[in-house]
Amino acid sequence: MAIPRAQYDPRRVFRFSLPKFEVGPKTRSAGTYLSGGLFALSFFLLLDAATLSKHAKPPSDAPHDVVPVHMSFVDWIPAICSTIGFLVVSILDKSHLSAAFSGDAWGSSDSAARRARVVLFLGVALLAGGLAGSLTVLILKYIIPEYNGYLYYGIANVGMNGGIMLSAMILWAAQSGSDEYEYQLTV
Amino acid sequence: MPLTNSPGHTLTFPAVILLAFVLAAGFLLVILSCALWANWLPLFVALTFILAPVPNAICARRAGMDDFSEGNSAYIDFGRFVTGMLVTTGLSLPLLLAHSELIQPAACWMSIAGGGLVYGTILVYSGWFGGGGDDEF
Repeated sequence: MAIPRAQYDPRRVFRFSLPKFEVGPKTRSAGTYLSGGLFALSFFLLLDAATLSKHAKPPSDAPHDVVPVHMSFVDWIPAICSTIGFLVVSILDKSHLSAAFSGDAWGSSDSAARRARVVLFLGVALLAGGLAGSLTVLILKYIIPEYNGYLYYGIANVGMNGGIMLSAMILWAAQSGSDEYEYQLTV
Repeated sequence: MPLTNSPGHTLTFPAVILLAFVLAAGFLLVILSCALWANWLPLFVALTFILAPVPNAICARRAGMDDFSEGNSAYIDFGRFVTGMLVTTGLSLPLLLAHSELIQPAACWMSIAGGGLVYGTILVYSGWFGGGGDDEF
């Protein structure tokens, strides 16, 4: 079945083919560093909001008031979803997926490819669910009750989940290169 | 002082002295940022920056163990990911602490500068001394 990939390929599903870009070893390592940094940064955004909430003081003109809203476990649920989704998407072995999506005749009957697709779907759904959940928390907990002074807690939550998603994308793009760069360099 | 980063380049004597001074200055900054306000929270920053090169070293060793088997660079990538996380932690932890007024802003900047000096020293030292492409940071 050694049909060369021509302009017209009968096995293709879509009219446009996705751009296939190769990343070099430099881009790969830089993308991995960047992704790790973004992951930690988004966690620190949420931790910053949580620390602020923990140490929040009532306004100085009314020192006996109570602070109306604190961060609670509800604010952490989207973060938990996003983190699990990130782990699932990142741990996945990409080689199964490329076999599954390219419509390769050799890889199509592979059950590993099907399982990889299901796991990828679950991971991306968890990531997107985390982002949607953080928006829900922002709207329902901070915007609708008009806690305008405490809007930062909700916005930090959205930023954290968006950052995790962006980090997963960067890691995915950085890992999409060839796997054997180490051996091209050393051997 | 030659700044060549050739593999196997031996460290010249003044460079070692300079690096040691920079390392000491970094630790001085971090410890001052704690001691001046009697608040030892910024010490975590120094700890993070010291720990930052560890995952790369471990993962490079782990990946080098099976040298001629199928290429599994996942260990190396994981090490890089954790390194990126640790460096970002070291940079953003003082900002967090300063934002919620647990430490003074001056202590925040001092601990960031000190941690950066310590990490830069480790980077330069391993870049000169480590030589081969095994443990790049």
